[in-house]
Amino acid sequence: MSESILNINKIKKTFGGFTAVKDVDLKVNRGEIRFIIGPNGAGKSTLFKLIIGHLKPDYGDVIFKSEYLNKLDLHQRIKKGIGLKFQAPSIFNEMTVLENLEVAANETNLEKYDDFIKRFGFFEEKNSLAGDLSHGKKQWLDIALASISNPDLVLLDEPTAGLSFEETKKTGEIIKYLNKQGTTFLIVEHDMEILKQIATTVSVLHLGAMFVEGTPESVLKNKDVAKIYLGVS
Amino acid sequence: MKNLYFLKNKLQTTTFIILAMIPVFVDSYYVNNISFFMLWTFIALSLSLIWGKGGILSFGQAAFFGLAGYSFGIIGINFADVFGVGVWSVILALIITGIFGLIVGYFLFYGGIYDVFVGIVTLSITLVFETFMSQTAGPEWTVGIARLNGFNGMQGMPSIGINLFGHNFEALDNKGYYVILALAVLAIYLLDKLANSKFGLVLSASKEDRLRVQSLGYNVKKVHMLTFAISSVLAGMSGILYTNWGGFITPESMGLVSAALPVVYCAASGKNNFFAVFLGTILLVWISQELAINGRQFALIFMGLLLVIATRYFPDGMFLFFIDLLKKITQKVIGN
Amino acid sequence: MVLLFNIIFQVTDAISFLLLSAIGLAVIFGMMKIINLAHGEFITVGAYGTVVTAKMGLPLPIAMACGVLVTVIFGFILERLIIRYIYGRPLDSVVATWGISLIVSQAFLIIFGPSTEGLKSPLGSFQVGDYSFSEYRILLIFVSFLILVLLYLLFMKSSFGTLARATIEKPVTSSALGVDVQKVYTITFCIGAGLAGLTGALYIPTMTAVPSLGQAFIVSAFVSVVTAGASPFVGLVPAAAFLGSFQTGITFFYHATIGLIGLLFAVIMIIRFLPSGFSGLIKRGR
Repeated sequence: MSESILNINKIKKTFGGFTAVKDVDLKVNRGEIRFIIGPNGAGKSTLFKLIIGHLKPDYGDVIFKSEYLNKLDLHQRIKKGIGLKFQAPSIFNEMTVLENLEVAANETNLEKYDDFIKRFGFFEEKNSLAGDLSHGKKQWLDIALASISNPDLVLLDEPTAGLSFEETKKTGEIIKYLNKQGTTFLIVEHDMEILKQIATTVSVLHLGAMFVEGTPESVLKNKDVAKIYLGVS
Repeated sequence: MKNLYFLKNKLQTTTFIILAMIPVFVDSYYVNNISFFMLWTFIALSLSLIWGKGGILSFGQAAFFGLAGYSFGIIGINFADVFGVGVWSVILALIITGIFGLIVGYFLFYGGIYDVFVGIVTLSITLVFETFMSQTAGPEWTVGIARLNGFNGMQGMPSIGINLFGHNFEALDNKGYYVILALAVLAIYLLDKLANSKFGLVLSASKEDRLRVQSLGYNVKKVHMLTFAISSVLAGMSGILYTNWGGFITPESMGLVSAALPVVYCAASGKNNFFAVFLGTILLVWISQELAINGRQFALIFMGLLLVIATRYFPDGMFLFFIDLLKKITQKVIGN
Repeated sequence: MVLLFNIIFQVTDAISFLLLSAIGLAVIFGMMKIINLAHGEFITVGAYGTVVTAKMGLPLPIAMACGVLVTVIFGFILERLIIRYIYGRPLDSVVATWGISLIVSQAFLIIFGPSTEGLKSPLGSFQVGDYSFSEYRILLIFVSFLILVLLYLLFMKSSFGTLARATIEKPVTSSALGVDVQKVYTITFCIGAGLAGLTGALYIPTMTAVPSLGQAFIVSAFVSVVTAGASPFVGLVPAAAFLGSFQTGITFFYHATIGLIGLLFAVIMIIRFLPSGFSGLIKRGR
């Protein structure tokens, strides 16, 4: 099944005189775990914000499940079947873990989600305040919030930021499990370990444009990719 | 957690029962006064909803108070002879206020106005109302046959009540004590239900992180607009009951001080807890009335002190603090 | 010709009133982001301080300096007791400063009574056609622009100003660089208080001394600062110019009450359609 779930056509965004994203094409197929990488300033965050609708592009299209998202607000795009996690953990610290999930799932009875919660590893802390969780568990809760309503596509912006080696590995396992259940993932990341662990395809951005795309092995072996990271463009 | 809820519920029920029995034992002069104190609870509850639960500080409650009061008066005066006017003038006035609340809410939240700017815009709206109504003194300022009467305010509207089966049920006995109490109990019950519903959960989450809630698929602007409209209706309820109690409504009810009063009641009582706000408001209106006997300045200084102390030392509200303290003391006593 | 002079005077007088109302608040709200609803009371303190010391026999300029000094002390006390605990909590600063405003205004009422004999306007008046104009108010027009220039120099060009702006924007970073953040906050707040006191001192010769005199300024002050936008010293002059002309225009065709309503209406529209105020406009134009 390689039907396309997300299609970005020739998308461009400038800020004042600076072009953050130029003519980027991106096609993500159902079932993929797609990683977007690139050195700092490559335009990854801008691209992310353009996809979710936080920024409006100068031109270009965002097509999700064959539907044009261009005119839709953030919450309208989400309702089409997208889950999303921002870079910094944005959970609701003043509410319990369970209440956090209730908001995300739009349900007040979460019994059928018990397995889901157990897999994320905070079943014990169900009734604790989300603000009291460790940083790692906060990141997992944030990912859980993005995925609990079973969206078709989940967008993650640096999900392993601040996580230890073991926590990063566990995050990879969680994503792999959800992917097996049918969720497509688009992940902006810096961490190469998790990329090696779970990525199916990798897109490399550089100076706002698509540099190269391919399997994890081919990208990691690519000398030009290494060069752009080392600042030799 | 569960224990606190149970205690709160027992406290709530007991309080309501006590309040219901007061007119039986107490002289009607005092009962009339308590009616007056109670009618202010709705506007305080309205702010508790939009500020305590919603995280949005509005100075516009006084505008809805006045709008509803004047609407109630205008409709009542113009249709004084129509059957049931004492009931449907209330309903109509609330609908008008609610519509206006929706419009203002739409303007604010769909216009991207948040935080301190909501306060500035809503205060401006309130002051525009007050300024405008204050200069409607001339005889040309009428709606139908109701004269607005400028600074001195509108009077002569029929009271809340209905003539059924030849019997006149008027909310004038004890100045409408039981009507007001029943409405207050209903309001608190509905507000609690709302706060614990899915809508309430989304509202609480939006208070913390609007963007995250939007990124979970909710139209946060709509949630805020609806909450604002509900709170406008509540504020309007106070306005109508106030107009009914005294038989008049003036532009001063939309002045700077009037706009600040619900903020005082909420901040001092504990804006996050509807019942605390209910009791706190009754107490505070009573105290400020007692103080005003010696001069309005003292009442206002007291209000000012409350605000400063509450914000500085009791951000969760003083009332809640004392209820907690009481609970701890009784637990210690019972524990022994 | 006479009419033209009258109009020009009315407009510039309105503009300078808005400017002087706003200067203290521009520092406290515009820069420090503390919504100070007690701003009117700071003005009142400065005004009464001037009146009391002038009545004791001091010459007017010295009395005005005393008025400012009293207000600075008052601001210092408030900052230590209350304000420093509510930095970063804008809604709470609304509530707390409203409380302060109530306390102070009512305390003035109790101490000084509903009205106190004021001061005479120091300069005379002159005639142009059928209209007579106060020389003092014309002086105030020049003074208001002068103060604004000095403020701009202080906060935008001096080293203290740069330090203050940096600390307010990034207190943690500044602290890590060795800055005594609390001291900077206190000094800046006192400057704001002193400026408000100056407003009161400057205007009291043209008004009666009543405890609620601050109320006359507070709406203008907030309206100007909000319209000025994120950089108060850049946006304040165009904001005041716009609002002053707008308000005078409406007052001219209708009357003062409608002028006030017009002003409030203008600020509502500006918040809605021009959220970064006039300073945002200016920045974009660059």
